[in-house]
Amino acid sequence: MISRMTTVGSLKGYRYNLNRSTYTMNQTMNRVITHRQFTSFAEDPARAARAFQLRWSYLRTSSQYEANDAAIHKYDQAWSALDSVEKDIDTITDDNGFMSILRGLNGADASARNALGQSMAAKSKSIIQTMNGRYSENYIFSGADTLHVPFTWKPRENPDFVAEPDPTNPEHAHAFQYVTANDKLTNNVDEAAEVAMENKSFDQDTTFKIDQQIIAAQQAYDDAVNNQGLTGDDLEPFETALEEALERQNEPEYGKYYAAGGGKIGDENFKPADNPDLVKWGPKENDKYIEGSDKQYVKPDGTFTNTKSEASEVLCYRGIPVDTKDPDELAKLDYYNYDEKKYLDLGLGYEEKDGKVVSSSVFDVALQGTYYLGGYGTKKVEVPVNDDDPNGEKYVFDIPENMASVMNRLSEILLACDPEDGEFASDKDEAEFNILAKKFEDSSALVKQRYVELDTQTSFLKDNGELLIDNCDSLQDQFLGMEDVDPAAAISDLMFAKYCYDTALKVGNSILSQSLMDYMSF
Amino acid sequence: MGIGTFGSFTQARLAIYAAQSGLTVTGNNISNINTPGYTRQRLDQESLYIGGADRYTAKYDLRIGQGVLASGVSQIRDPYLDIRFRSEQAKVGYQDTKLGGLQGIATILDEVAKGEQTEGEHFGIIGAQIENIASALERLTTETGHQEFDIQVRSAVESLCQKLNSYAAKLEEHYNNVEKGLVQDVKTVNSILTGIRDLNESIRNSEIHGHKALELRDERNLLIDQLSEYMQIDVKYEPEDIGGGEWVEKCVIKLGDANPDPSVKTDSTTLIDGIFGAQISIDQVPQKRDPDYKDPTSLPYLDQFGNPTARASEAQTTPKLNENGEMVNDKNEVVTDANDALWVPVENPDYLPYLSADGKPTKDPDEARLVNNPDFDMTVSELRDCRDNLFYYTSVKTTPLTQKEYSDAVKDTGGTTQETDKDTGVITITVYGRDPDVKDPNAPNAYFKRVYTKTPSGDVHLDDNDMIGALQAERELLTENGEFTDLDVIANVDEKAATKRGIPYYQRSLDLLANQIATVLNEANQGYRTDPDGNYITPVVDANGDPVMNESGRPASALITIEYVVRDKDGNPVQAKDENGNPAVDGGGNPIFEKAEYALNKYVDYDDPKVWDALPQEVKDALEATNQSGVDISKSDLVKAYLGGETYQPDGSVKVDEDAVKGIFDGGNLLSNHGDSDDDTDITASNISIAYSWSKGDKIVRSFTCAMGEVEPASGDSENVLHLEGLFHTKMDYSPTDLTSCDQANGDTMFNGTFGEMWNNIGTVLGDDQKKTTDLLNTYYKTSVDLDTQRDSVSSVDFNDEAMNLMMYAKSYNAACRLMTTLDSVLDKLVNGTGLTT
Repeated sequence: MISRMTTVGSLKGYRYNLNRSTYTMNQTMNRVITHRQFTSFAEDPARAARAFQLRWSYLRTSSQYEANDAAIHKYDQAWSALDSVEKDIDTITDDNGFMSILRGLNGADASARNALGQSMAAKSKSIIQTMNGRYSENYIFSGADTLHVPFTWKPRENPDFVAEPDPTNPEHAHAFQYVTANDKLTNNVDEAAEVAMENKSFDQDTTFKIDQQIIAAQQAYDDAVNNQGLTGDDLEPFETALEEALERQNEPEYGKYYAAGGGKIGDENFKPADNPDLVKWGPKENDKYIEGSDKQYVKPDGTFTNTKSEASEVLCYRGIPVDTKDPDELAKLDYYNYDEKKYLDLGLGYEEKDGKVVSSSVFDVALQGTYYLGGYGTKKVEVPVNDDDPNGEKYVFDIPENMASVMNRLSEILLACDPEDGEFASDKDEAEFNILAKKFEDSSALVKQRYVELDTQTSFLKDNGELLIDNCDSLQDQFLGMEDVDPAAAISDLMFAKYCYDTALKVGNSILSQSLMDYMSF
Repeated sequence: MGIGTFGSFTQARLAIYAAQSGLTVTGNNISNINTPGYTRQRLDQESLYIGGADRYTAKYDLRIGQGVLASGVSQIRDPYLDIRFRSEQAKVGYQDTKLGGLQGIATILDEVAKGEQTEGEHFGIIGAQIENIASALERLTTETGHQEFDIQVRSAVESLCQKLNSYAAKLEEHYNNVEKGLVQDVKTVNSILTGIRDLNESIRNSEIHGHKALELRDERNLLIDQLSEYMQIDVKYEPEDIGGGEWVEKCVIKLGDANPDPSVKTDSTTLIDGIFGAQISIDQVPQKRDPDYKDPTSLPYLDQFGNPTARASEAQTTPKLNENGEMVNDKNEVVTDANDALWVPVENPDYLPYLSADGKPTKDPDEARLVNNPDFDMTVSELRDCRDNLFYYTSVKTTPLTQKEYSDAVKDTGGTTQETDKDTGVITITVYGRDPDVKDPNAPNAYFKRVYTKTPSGDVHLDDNDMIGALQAERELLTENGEFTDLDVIANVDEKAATKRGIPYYQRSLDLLANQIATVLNEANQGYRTDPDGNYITPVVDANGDPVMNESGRPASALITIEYVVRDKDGNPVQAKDENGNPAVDGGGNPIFEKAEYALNKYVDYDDPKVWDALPQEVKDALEATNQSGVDISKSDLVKAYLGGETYQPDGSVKVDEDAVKGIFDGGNLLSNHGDSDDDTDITASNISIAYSWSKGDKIVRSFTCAMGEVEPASGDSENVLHLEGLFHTKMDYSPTDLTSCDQANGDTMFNGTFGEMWNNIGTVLGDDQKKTTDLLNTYYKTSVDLDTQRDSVSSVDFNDEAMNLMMYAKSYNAACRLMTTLDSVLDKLVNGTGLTT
């Protein structure tokens, strides 16, 4: 049966549908006005959540781009610094004076060694000054210690120096030269106990053998003279043998005491108290005494001084001498150079495992100055004193790995050359110079290699920056694509909704105006 | 007998009268076409027939009807459509109110298309702020050690805190508004119930006097329709014996059996019974205090150390005792074995749970200020009429009596007794009588005893799900905690409570997010400094206690180790050897035992049994020596205690020996529950603040890792800053029990994601709920409109119909007049023209 449709029912139905039509038109109008497909979670929860995720990813990527940009600038500045260092190196290596020295030329060219030394000292200072550059209030080459200057020059400290020696402090024992009669330490010779001067190199076996040799030579000589009656040339071998045996008394290991009239006393059973006149007496020396412990600094020639300006300069990285031989200091420099990190999240998929960041998911921006200047520590090098005798006496040098340190040492040697003829101060200096010159070339090559390495890292950062920008653009496209309306569709929808609404109004007008009542006539 | 001579005039007169009445009814319908609730009326007409038989009748007598009688006016309604419409109205009312509440929440929490104009717009507010903090931390990783960048992070976090505070305050305001709305709606419902009751009385009186009171019925229907929006109701019309063989109609309205639990009967509670009506009310309870850790009297339990706590899960437990001091189980049965007893949290004896009218804490619930029950439980009152007379439910029980029994009873009682129970108010009336239908007086059932039991109507406390409608929606908006619901509520009150989400759910979700952010950041910003291998370090000091400097000119460090005596496989200490390889002894000849050291490592999870078991027994002994309380303490806490120089005392307290503190502790809380402290207990969205220390300038810990030999991290080391930033993009578990106020809820993870995703989840859950509610509302509303249209198709006025009626009654009227004219003409012929001759 068709249900009875009444005027009241029609009006209610019309009112409901007109309301729906108005609602639809309002919705489409909002879309056109806001350009958005939805303006609340309720309209499309899944899309809204996804769009927010994308928007926050966009913010994060923008932030990573910002950090990447800062890193690029830091690396650019680092690159400029190393570029300058490289140019300094090139200037030195191209310098005629330097090349002449390397070619072993002397004379007029040799006289330029002092000047080259000064130039090299200035360059090494300049390189370090460059390496101490900052970007945005942060030191570039100080690893993770960005607030502190990485490289410093310090006067080379005498490790044995004691400023105010305290005789009661066992750690100051090496600073006292003498021992008193009461076994107390002192530097006053007058307070020292007087003791027979012992030969500190005394070796009982050697002394015994030499004494036996002298006795045997003496007996042979006496026999030749007294029993065999030899003279002249016949006696000469015996004389020579005896002289040679006696000559051995000068060997350092011979003799327990110094004799009053010179020479040494070889008898191991000799007691100075029994024959005080036979021995040389002197102040009792402290076995632990180290010469120069009253001097704070070490001069370029290895002697000690208390004058700071005379001291050799040592390059320090974050407080530690770069040419240190101390194992603890070397371990720390190892840590700085290989294990200390300053990571940035540059969109490489940041991840942590067991509370530690996964290194492959971040970028390390801790630039260690020592790494870019050839390294740290020293290498022991031995060279024969006489080139003709490779197995003979040798010079032993601790050659620094760090290029600035090498330059500094080179300059010290060059500045020590004779200002007139340019002669090296010593053969040892010349030998050390030759080794250092070779090391300088090797270090220069290493610095250039590290320079290229930095360039590669800078390129990576630049590529990464472009990738991050692309990601930002892509994310923006995604969330806008998800949120934004298609203008054509939105306007069409609005027009259609408007059309429906207008039609609904027209229908309403008809409903209200038409009924049988209007056609009744009595 | 045929119709009399003038009978036909009567017939015409009745016809005119009926047509005129019809026109009047039609006019009434047309007049009320716009009257809300008006039911179209119809003239009831009957054909008049004079009954009975003549004494002498002939086979050919004609019996003709004598016209029409307008016997009354009735309404046209379909009760079935009323039931369906009102049932649908309850659902519409429920969904509409719920949607209104959710929209109120969405106004606060829905950030779609909101946000500042930076970098475009619509990035949201809280979500964007969370990302802003991460960006500020990213900047701090590149600019570590510069305070202005630390301040940028602090400003970003402060801004987030303020926004969370603001959102929490707005949610609280919304909650209060909904609560006021519920109170107002309860008043409205009571007003409707009173109106229906009073109309029932008026209709009843009219009916007794023979009037149908149609307009009053319309008014009552309108009120019932209104009532059905607030709660699902069941409306019935029953006959009521008013004595003297007269019956009237009685309107009975009950709750509509909405509770899905069939064992619950309160969902059919009577609201209206004829002229009696009930009122509903929200239960009132003493106002409880919020926990405040600064005030021990506000904390209900004692923890294992005897300290007051708000968390039942942290409390000591003890067997439950009955009033006789005996142990009882969960069924209140006395048990002798403590293992069988129900273990309950130990209560804080100083706990003052209530607030008095003047705002002071009190233990006495009678002194406390009364407020709405937090569960907004409702009670339906007793039924009373407009003269405040109480309604009694009457039951009758009839027992047959013998004549003797009857005689004895009448002799003793006079035939009737009446008793009233003072406690229950139940009235019992006993009547003895003779059954008129049994002829034989000696028959065993010739007499009877009839007992009338009149039970007074009383208060009925409604169950949680007894209503569907606007009131229930408001209740759920105010009470439903979703995943934060206590487990005992799910078990005993509403098994679906965990899936129902009202304002408290969103408040707790926001609290959980704030709490998680605070907990995670606070935890990450404090700890002990370590060497690069993760071993704890301590400063090296000289004999005077002054720090020893290392080669970098900074204080030197040493590893933190546990020194222990080495034992052999039998557990006996191993004696050390002297330089000659002989057993070592001290000056007194006592053996010197071999010692070893074990470095504690920050990155080791000592709670992992494998890690713990692998430790040398001596190390375990040294760590466990820090616990003298006899209570289990986690292994990682033992390590912390060891490092912090702490010892758990037998009485549960923690003793700190400052000289025994090991390691270098760095950092502290970044966020607290109040801007003037560093207290991190019970941080919620409404109280989350920058910790006092941080606001005064203490920095974010840049790193805990120091180079070997150092006691301070490198000045630009940003390991921990990066970690903090990483936390903003790390997925983590969110459990309702992380909140103190929800420690009785299900402890399972309710969400896993980053801070931003958790915030997004809040919006998504809200959006889903809104969408679902909108869809349901549209469906129910459409159905409701359809049903209303169907009701209108039966009951409402239509112009066409009424126009037809107008024409019909007008024609009838004309025809009746014509009939009378015809009769007059016929009679005139008969009287004046018949038999006359001219």
